[in-house]
Amino acid sequence: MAIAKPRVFIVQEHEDANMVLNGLLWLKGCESYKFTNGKDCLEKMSQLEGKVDVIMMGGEIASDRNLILIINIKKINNNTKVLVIADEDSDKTRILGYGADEFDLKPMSPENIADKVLMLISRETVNENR
Amino acid sequence: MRQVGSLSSQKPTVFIIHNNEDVNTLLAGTFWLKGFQPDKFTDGKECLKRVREIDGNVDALVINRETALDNDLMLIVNMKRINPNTKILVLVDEELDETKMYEYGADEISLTPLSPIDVIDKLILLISKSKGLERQNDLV
Repeated sequence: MAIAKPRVFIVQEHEDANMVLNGLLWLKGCESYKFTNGKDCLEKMSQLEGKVDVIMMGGEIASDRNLILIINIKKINNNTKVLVIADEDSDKTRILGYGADEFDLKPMSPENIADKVLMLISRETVNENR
Repeated sequence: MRQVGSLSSQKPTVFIIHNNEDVNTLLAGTFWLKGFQPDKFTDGKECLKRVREIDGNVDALVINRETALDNDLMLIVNMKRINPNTKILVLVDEELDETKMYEYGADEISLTPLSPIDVIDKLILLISKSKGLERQNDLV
């Protein structure tokens, strides 16, 4: 029986950074999707009936007051974990208020980000097993 | 002064010039995640054109050996003429013509294999070193 791979979304405006993370997460055994804007991310999440384990996003997208991406993600699936990697911590309180599960600052290596994503997945698995 | 590789309102700019698009993508993506503002080119001419457009406001260039040794383009020489403070790191796969590249004005030559993180660390060190020297000169 095939084991379902953890499903991860990457939402950042920088396409090259998305490609790097997408490749790395794929090599680490995840089913990953990349988006450069929040709308496409929400659309795909709805298509997949909210079945997304972790969404990693950039600080600017996370703090967008019009899109309120994190709130909309949590509306679709409250169990989806959200990791935000930002350039600065000026919007940290707001982003955490929206419902982000983890907030980190750059500089970060792709490996570190992938490890954080995997950590959130394992945290979710532990909670499910309780 | 802009900080390198750490929290900063203005990100350090780095231009990557490599004929391999996958290398460009990998380096540009990693640089971005590390807090830089990267731009990538597969052609040195395009890069130089962009440098002129922005009046040489580039913190660093990462270039491959072929681009560094292009006698028609003379990218390193031209870059240093526009902005002598721009740091230039050359990635090479063999230890040939190093003297020539240093004479052109390259600040460091690194031999592959290197990981993207190694490249970024080398560049951060190069920029930080020059900022340290600037500070020392200010004190004198």
